[in-house]
Amino acid sequence: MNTISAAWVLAQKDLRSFLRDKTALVLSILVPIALVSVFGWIMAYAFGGSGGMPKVTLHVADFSQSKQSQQFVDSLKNDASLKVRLVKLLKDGDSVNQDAVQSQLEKLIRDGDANHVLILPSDMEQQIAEDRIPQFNLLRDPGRAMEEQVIQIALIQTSAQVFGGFFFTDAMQRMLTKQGMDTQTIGLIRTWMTDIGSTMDTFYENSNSGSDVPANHDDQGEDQPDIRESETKSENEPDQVAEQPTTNSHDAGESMLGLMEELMPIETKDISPPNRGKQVTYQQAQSVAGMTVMMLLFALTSCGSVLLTEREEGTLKRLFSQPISWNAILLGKFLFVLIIGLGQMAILFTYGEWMFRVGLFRDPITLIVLSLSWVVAGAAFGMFLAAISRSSKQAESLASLLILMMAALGGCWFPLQMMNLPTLLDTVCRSTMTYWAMTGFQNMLWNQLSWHDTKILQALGWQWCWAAVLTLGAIVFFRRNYCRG
Amino acid sequence: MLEVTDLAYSYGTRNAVQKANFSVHQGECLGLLGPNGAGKTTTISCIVGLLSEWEGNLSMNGAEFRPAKRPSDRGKLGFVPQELAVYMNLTAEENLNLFAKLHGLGRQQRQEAVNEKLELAGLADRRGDLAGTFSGGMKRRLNLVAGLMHSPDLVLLDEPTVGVDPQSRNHLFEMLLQLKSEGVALLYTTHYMEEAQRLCDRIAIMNEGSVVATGTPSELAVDAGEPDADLEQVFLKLTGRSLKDI
Repeated sequence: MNTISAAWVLAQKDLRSFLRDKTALVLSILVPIALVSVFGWIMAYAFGGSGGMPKVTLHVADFSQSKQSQQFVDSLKNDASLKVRLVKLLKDGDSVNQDAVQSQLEKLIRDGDANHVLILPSDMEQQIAEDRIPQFNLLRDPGRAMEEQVIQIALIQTSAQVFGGFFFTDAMQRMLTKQGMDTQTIGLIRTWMTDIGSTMDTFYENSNSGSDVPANHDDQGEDQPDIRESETKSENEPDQVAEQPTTNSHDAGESMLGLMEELMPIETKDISPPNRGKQVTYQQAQSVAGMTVMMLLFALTSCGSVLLTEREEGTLKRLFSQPISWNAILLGKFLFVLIIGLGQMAILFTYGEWMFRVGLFRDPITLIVLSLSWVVAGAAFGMFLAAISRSSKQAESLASLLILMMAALGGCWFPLQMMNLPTLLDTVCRSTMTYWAMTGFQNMLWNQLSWHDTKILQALGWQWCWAAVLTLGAIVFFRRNYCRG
Repeated sequence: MLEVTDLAYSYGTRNAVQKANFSVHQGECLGLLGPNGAGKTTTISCIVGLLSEWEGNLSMNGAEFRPAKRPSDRGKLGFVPQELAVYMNLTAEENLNLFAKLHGLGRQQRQEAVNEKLELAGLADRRGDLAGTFSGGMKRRLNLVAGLMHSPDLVLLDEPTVGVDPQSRNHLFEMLLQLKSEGVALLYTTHYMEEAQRLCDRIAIMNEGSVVATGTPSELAVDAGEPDADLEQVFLKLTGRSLKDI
């Protein structure tokens, strides 16, 4: 009997045996589904609405290139909750090509290379000179509620630091105008607020005296509005505020950026792949992918341990005495694990789609390619564990340890980009096979990339590398530990 | 039929089998007796192909026999391991069908072989039941016929009657005697002297990795200098009375 036929006969035997054990079968489906549900809900509803997280990456495009904008960026960089990355601007000669840069920035978000880009306007210096809080633009990937909250707080804090008390008077005026107060009353309130603003300036000057970032009062200190100036402005500014573009796609009251939009002259624009469902949050997509990736590993290693069970029960001895090659035995187990893995993946994804509507079946080819690659890598991992272990108990313990570690490091539990990892740990995370599985699925689910996109190809490549290395290891150890002599 | 010449195998530095010599003839049952740790299972494992790096020579019908290297050589043997090496989640019929398939039997041949072996094992009425639901004796019978699906000329049985009741043991003996009468050669390891006396034409006694005596039970008694002694007494004389597996 040739190797492939023998392997197929053995795989059929294992499948039949697996399907007979109804309890194990039901558990293998229900446990992952239960975990996907629990984690999905927790991530979407519990963590989705609250802050308290490590550094969030904010890309900044500085069109102004002025001293003021530099101060603002420096202050943002000093914010403990942000990781600020300056975007290099495309230039036509000496001037910035704003349209080209705008497209470049939107592409950054669409491709998943950035989630939020803050644009500092080219006339920022002039706006500040006119005692106006500059009109910022924020490009964002919708559905990243947790990160948005951090950015919101950081921007308000930074604005208050950089623009001093003037920020509060301006913010107050903006809010009152929005709520329909007449200009005369606002002017009166602004007069009082100016005094409060001066006090705030003094406070921030003192609090910043030990900081590297100087408070931005060098060109405002003298023109802190006196009553006469304020009155003049208060008559003019309500109209000015009313003219501000209001192209926000969200109702400010409902938006996670509501407070910031109330306080600051910021215009937000949502940029997301066209086919992504509006209701999908990043956390949901992350948890569906993460739990599937992790649970599949558990299922596959448990199937892989059939090899050990057969050794312990003596049936492997009988298989070795059959006129088939020993590789057929290993290949048969691999086929069995592969089929179970694909079946489980199909069930989990169907359930995940039905439950969370994350758009899993938008691109079936990419889904199949990614699933197959992960199942192959997972099956190789399961076979490797079975080959190196001396008993099924040992394999179970080793599997639990390795899978939980790889799941955490690979980002199955929580998105890695939310974490402020040191370089070494970041490298360790990137070297796990779970990381690349997550990268593939996240790029498909969240950024709506297809299998032929470089990022997904890279993820696939790493998974196949892992699969090859583990398969080779499984063959070597199988021969050493099982085919003794 | 099977010629074992100077067979030797070591687990690291421990010599499990040293220069073992014996032969098994067609239609004969050779009993391989020995205390625990004497090297019986290692000898069987070398012949079946579970171990490969042994020294010495094995030949089958005059031709070199390398079961570990050549799957086709393994196909010439039937093997009944000491463990209940059948799949408990498969039915009796599915178990037998599986091993028939692995031996490359076609659909028609397979069906005939399955029916015949189920009859032989007395399991025809339970063919559709899971092996896990069988009694110990039924499992043993199924374990035995699972090694016979391809109708081999030589069957190696490693303590096939461990833990069965007298009725099942008797049924197993009848099955083996029937095989013998059909010309099948049997290499049978056991600790039970009465089994060896009833079933085996000749006996090879192993001790500390070597075959220390070979012959019919009466020849062994004469060689041991106690012509009236039974097999157990001869065995104890040849292998000693001290514990061997401490």
